[in-house]
Amino acid sequence: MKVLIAEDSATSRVVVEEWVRTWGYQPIVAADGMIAWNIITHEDPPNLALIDWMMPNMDGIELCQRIKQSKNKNTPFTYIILLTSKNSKEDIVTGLDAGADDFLSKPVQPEELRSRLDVGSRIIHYHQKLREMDEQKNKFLGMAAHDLRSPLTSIMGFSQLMLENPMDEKHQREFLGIIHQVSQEMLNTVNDLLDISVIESGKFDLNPKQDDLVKLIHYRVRLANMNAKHKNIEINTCIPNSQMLFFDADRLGQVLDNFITNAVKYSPEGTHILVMLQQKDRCVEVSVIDEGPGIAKAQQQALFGAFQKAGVRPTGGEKSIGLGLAIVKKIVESHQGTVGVSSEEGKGSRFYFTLPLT
Amino acid sequence: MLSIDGNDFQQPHNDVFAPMNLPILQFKSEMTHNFLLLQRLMAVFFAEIPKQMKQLTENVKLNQNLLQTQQLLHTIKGDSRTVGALHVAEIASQAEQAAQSGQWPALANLLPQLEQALSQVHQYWLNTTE
Repeated sequence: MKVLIAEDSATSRVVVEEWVRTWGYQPIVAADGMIAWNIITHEDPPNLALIDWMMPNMDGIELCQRIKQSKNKNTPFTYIILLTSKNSKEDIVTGLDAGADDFLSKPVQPEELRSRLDVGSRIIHYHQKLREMDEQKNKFLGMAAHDLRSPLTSIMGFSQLMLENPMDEKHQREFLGIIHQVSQEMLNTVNDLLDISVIESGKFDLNPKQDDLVKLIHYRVRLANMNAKHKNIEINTCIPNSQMLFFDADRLGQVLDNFITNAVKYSPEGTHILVMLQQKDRCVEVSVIDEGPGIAKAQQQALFGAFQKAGVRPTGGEKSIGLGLAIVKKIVESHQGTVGVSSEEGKGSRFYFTLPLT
Repeated sequence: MLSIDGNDFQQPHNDVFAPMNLPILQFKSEMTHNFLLLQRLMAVFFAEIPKQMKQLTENVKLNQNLLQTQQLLHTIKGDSRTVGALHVAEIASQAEQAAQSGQWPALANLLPQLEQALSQVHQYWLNTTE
């Protein structure tokens, strides 16, 4: 991490520069406030700054004020440590009021300066993390609004047509069928959003009990078969007669639904899907294997994050908000299990989860 | 004798004091562990001092640039503390206070003392590293 050292004293610059470099930072020195300001307003400026108070051309107080008031998109946040021979309570108040985040009086012990720099470095890291999360939240809101608006537009359009035009029962049923289908898509989206909201707020609870995972797989495959038949896709299973485990059937049903419906969604017509259950070392592994287009290696890890979609498109015009796998990951991990994907472009995908046997 | 970074280096004897009972040169412990840094630091210190003293002498002679005089003395005070020239730092501090209250005659008295103390430090450093 870059550290700006704004200091007019040549000897102090030499010492602090050497210390800062020894501690693994990248020092950038400025012999007065104006030079420091030019560095700060330049492209890719330092996020950490050690600023002396008394400097020619522009003193440290003015420099602090300018940095904190600047709207430079390159430096959304600069952590400033005022390093000065001033040390009265009034000086400290003046320095912090001017925008300094920390205040150190000279002479300073190297150990103290290093630990203060490390604190600044941590705060910058948290700040960057918060900014990324804020950006992700905005993206999240935008996508959620978009994914809710599309089906709503369909509902409004078809209901308006029905209201404004007299039509026979056949057409009425057809339009109502469309309205029903897009309402279901909306409900799925809202359910996913609520699940993610519960997960993100840390209030995600399971209701586990001893149950047969094989029975659950058979049931979920039967449900998915209805949609698969529309695309002439065959779902086969390779599972034992019974596998008793301790799990939340509703939540694991969600996981299976997600894997199987994704496989149906992204597979071309006339292909096969295989659902497998294997007992491994100390766990049970459930895999859903498809003959779809596969997923590029670079995209595989990001798939289990919120709002992540692979570069491939559903083959039957199905809708997806990209939250499903993030929810799946949380559900499986809450069962002390793991999730993963192995895939190669053009050679299908295998999505799997494991659950511990004990 | 200490062997640091391949150099033989002797810490000055602390019983050598300037008139104010302050050591002429007392290195900080972190400096004695990094002789190369100390050498660089002293080189920078002795390179800066002549320019600063020249400007100070001119200002005091003409009784002008009080703010600049104050800043220069503040810098010399800080730099002297950094290198461990505590006697110089003390005189610079007194001169800075005199400058803050605009006492040119006091400054004129203190400047030769400052010059002499700096020359002592220089000589001392040369003797130490011989």
